[in-house]
Amino acid sequence: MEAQKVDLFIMTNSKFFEGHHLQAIRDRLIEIDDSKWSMLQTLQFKDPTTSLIVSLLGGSLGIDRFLIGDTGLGIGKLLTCGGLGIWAIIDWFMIMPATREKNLQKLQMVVM
Amino acid sequence: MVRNRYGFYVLLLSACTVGYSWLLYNFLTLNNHTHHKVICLFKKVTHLPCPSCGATRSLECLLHGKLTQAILINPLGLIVAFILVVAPIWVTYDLITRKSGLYHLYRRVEIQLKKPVLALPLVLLILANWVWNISKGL
Repeated sequence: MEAQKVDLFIMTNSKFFEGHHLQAIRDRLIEIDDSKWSMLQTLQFKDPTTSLIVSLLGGSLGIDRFLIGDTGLGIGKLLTCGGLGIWAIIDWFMIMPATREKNLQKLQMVVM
Repeated sequence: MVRNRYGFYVLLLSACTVGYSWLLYNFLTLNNHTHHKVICLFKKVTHLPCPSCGATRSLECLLHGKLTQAILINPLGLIVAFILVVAPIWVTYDLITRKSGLYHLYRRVEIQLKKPVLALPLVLLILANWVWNISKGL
């Protein structure tokens, strides 16, 4: 793909990914075919800040994990009152990296 | 956290260990159901029970063989009890035989649960249980 398009994508979506992944994402996007551009543009990423807010408010019910697509872990948190309250607090710090990780997985599904 | 089989099994086994320890602690220190330690963040903040509040009391009733009372306190306790019993056995079996049956089941269930046809009734059930918990004043 053209470097200009890729840079536009990186600029608009950088907050959805880990900083250290951006260079690898850029390299990979430049390699892939131009036909994937439309698919890339329709991808909806989860905002890490939103998941943090949800985690602060409904973390002990596991809603944050359901939001990012970790249904199994969400049920685990729901059934245990947020892992006896401890997991809920840990997830206040873990949920943003976890969201970025999920976004990367979503991107990889299209790019690979 | 659950990107691979081992991560999932380690997480599940640690969760079960914590669960059993918590249950043992409650079993040894408290015999009176009215003086339960509140550890639930949601209940501490809002003074309202969360959907799974009462699961410990439900499990204690199960340990005493009172199935009906366990269901009346919180039916989710039965699901927790099932997981606590089955998970360690299945994980041990998988690790010994080098299979990943439980992990594959977890993945399949996770995909199925994302379908609204299945997710919506379950969410409604949890909400109904929540309303019941609040009305019971757990």
